[in-house]
Amino acid sequence: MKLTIERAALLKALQHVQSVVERRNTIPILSNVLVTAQKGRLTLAATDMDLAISETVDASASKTGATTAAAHTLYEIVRKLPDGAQVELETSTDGNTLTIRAGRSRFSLQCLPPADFPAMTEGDLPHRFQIAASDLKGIIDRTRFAISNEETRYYLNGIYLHAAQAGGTPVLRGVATDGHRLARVEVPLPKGAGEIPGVIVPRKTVNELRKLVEESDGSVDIELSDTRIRFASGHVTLVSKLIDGTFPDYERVIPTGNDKVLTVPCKEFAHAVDRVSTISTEKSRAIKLAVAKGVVTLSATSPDAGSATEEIEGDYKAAAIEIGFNSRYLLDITEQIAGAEARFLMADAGSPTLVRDGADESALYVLMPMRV
Amino acid sequence: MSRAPRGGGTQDRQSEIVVFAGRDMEEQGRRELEGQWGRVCDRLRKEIGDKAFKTWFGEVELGELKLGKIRLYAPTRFVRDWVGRHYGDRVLAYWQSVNVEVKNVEVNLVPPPTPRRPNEIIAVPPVPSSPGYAQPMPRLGPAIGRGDEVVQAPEGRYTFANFVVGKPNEFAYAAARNIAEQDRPLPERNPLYIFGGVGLGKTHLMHAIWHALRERDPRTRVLYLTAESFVNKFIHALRTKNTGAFKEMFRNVDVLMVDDVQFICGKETSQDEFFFTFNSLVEQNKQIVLSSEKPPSELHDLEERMRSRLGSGLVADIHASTYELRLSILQSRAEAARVPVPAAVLEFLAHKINTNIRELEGALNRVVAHGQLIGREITVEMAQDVLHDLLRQADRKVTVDEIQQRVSSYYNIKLAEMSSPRRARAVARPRQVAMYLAKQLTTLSLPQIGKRFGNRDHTTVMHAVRKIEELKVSDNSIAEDVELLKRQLQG
Amino acid sequence: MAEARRQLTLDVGHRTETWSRADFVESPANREALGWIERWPDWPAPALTLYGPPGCGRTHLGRVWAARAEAETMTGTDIAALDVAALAELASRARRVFIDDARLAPERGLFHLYNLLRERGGHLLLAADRPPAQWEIRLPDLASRLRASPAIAIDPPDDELLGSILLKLFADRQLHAAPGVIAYLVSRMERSADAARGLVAALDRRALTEGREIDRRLCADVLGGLSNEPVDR
Repeated sequence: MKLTIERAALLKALQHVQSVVERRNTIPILSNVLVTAQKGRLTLAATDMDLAISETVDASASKTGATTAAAHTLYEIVRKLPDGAQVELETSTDGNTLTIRAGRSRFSLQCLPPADFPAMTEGDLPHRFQIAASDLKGIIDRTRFAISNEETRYYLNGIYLHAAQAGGTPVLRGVATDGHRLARVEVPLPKGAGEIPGVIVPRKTVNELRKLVEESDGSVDIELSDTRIRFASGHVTLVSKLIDGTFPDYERVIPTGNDKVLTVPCKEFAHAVDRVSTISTEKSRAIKLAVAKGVVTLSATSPDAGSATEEIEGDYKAAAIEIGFNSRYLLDITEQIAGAEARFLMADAGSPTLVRDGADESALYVLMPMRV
Repeated sequence: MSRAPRGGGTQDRQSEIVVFAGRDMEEQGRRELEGQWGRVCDRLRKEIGDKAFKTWFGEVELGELKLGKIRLYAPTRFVRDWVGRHYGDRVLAYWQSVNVEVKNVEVNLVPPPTPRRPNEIIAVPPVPSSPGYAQPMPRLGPAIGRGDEVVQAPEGRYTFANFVVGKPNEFAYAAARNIAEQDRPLPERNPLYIFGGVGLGKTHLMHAIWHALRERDPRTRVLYLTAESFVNKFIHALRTKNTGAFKEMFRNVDVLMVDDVQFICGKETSQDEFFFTFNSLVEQNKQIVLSSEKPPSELHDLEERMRSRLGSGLVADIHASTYELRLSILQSRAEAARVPVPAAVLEFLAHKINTNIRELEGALNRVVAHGQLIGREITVEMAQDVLHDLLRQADRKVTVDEIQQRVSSYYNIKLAEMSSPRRARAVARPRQVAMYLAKQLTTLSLPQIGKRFGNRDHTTVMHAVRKIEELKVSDNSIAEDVELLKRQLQG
Repeated sequence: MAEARRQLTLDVGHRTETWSRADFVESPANREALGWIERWPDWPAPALTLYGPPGCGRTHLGRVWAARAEAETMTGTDIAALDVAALAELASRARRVFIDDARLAPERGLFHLYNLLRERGGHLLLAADRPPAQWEIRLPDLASRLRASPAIAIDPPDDELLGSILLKLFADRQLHAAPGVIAYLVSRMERSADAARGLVAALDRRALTEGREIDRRLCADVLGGLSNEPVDR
């Protein structure tokens, strides 16, 4: 194998691909990136056995072929090469080393045979649809924060994607929860997505996918079965296993009768929460909201640090209520709200509170209070 | 079917994103792998026993070998976790002994396939009455019955030939035989009213009459019903406003037999209808046979005219059974079943199960069936075991106090030694026995048990339990002590 | 509780327990009962009773049979709502009926159902905490019919079974427990399946509230506080 490629193009592809590779690997070949030179193009691929990525870029190959080399090392090398450099990749005749040349630099990396590189089976992917990159971005950005980090609850370690009806309109829904809060985002149902099974896309895949759509303003092709999902956008393809679990029946925790409605200017509210929470203990991060007609009083106390209060104006007409929240969770949610106002729909201090963007009905957040 | 690919590469679609460097598994590789799996299974079966093997590996399937990792598929999440936890290391070790390339074994879940249609897995139970019985029985018209419902077919096993006669039932038996052999009903024997306690053989006699009549003349139209089905059918006829068809059912009957007639009492409309049917059949000189728990005079819910009408024919009673009758019934049943049951067991049953014949036969059936199921020899002890729910009044809840008292008096040591710190063998061993029994006979947690034995740690209890379990195997006298104490405590 | 300030949790529920044969763990405590279930339809009587302490697995085993025999599954209280005609309809339609909590069934209803099923060559499986001989049945016909049919005991779980019950409860809730947790719990908890159910529910809740792993430390905290804490079942 022998090819030449512009440094920037190689770096960008390597950056995508190497981030799938785990830092520590018991199986050596999983640390490697598969490099394949074909006529006029170069394909890079990496996998951690649960998620596989591949990207194709233009390159001039004078000799086709394939090899595998340490992904992070290769990435670091290319990153440190000067901008605008032409990079040459060449394998030795015995296939044991990969030589990288650029200007006066020359590196030689140990290789493993490409035949050992694991192929990820996709099986049959019977469902296929196309979604606007902006829609996919919208789902990920506004639900990702609620994904559970606890390995104990593996079935919550991802975003639940499924087709649903919202007031008679078919939608594609993304839902995430960690048992303390929940985020649900809807986008118009893409053509062909009506029959998909509900699937849980793992967190790592979500994060890699997010990087991928960042740079795309077009669309993403999605194919899936109930065990695998495949995303393709431009020259990049991701194939991932889905979480083998049953997502809980989340509809039952979304309150429908909460009648204590508070509307606050979102930014102002978030800043106040942030300031007051400086006092609350690191562990609980508890903050209390005392809501009365026209005004919200935020307060926090800590036996060690002292206390804090701040008042902000808000639109509220129902009976006064006091309710506690984890301030971190409040900030997580207000961060997702793009409109000027945030709307809190409450029942009491022990029941789920609904939070909505004053200007956007497509997202909904449920937050469980804290006893303070 | 949209499930993860299971086995060989043949059905895998080549991924576009990862360049395949040749198929992981060719046909031959697959066969080799299956061979290895077979050997692993053989060793597992040998080590953990057939039963455990079937339980856990019966539905586990071989997946593929990739990168030194063997993938197995389990049918449920639970089996996956269990196999992984209990047998993962062993499977790996065995596999490595047949294939050094294997570095890792992973158990995955098979996504559920489309649900099997239930009839694919269901064994159809045999219908106890042969079609021969069903065929000559009157069928209900479609307006009354539902489709293929057949008025009860008497059970083939209830015949005169296998009715065991003794003092308590000889009169009823003779009366029943008489009816079956007569050419035409005699007014003084119509109706025949057989009564007696629950489970003494009334239904047996009724069915026997039915069979005998049909045997004598297959054209005889005999209708046998329980009082309940009489009521059911009548209520249904009323609901569907089709009493005509109901009446039609009785019009052409030669003999009407109604079992457990006391169940018609107290249901006024059914009672009237029954009385009407009864009278019209008697007028036509058709034989009627009735059975009941009580004599006609004690059917208090019945109108007086009805009571005297029921008692106007031949009234025959069956008395409570005697030991002799029970024993000869058991002997005849055991003989008919061609199962050798020791005489001591039959005597034991005849002595202990003195309530009624149904329970007596039921008890014998239970003992025989248990013997077949477990493959255990039939002995008095085994019968005691199987029937302990009948023989013992109530399962007692054993307490730690009782255990300590019983054990200390059995070993002749002071009760206080149960919680004393002394470790001399003479007191330590009984204490361990008591701890073992506390674990076996109560649901208390080990820390709770420890607390009751002088605030000992739960590991001490664990140690005691293990010790006694070992001794039970190696030391016969300990095994006997424990068995004896257990029995005494369970009452 | 560890802290007065406590994060409340969303009641997202968990998957209902599964009742498949593959998930039923055989052990000396239930081997005989399982033998009878697998022996069906070769039963010596139209009825059979499984009895044992709460949570011993009688419901699970009943469901296993119901799946195998295509039986209708109901509870004793369901029977109370049915009149004779409805029972007859049930017997004709189902032919095989599993009644859980059979002691809650009215005697007359049970008696009719027994007879109706017997007439149709059907079978009745009952599950209860005690054998019919100890039910104090007032209807003598029913009492003698049930006493004449097999009553099979399911014993309280032994250690192995208790461990597998815990494992199954974790699996039902889709929870990963750290290695060693099962053995830790088995040697320290009350040894009944009911206690296992309460314990796993408490562990689940505590782990979710505090964002903790289900490991020995959490188990120790929960076992220590269990007596003071209401256990939801």
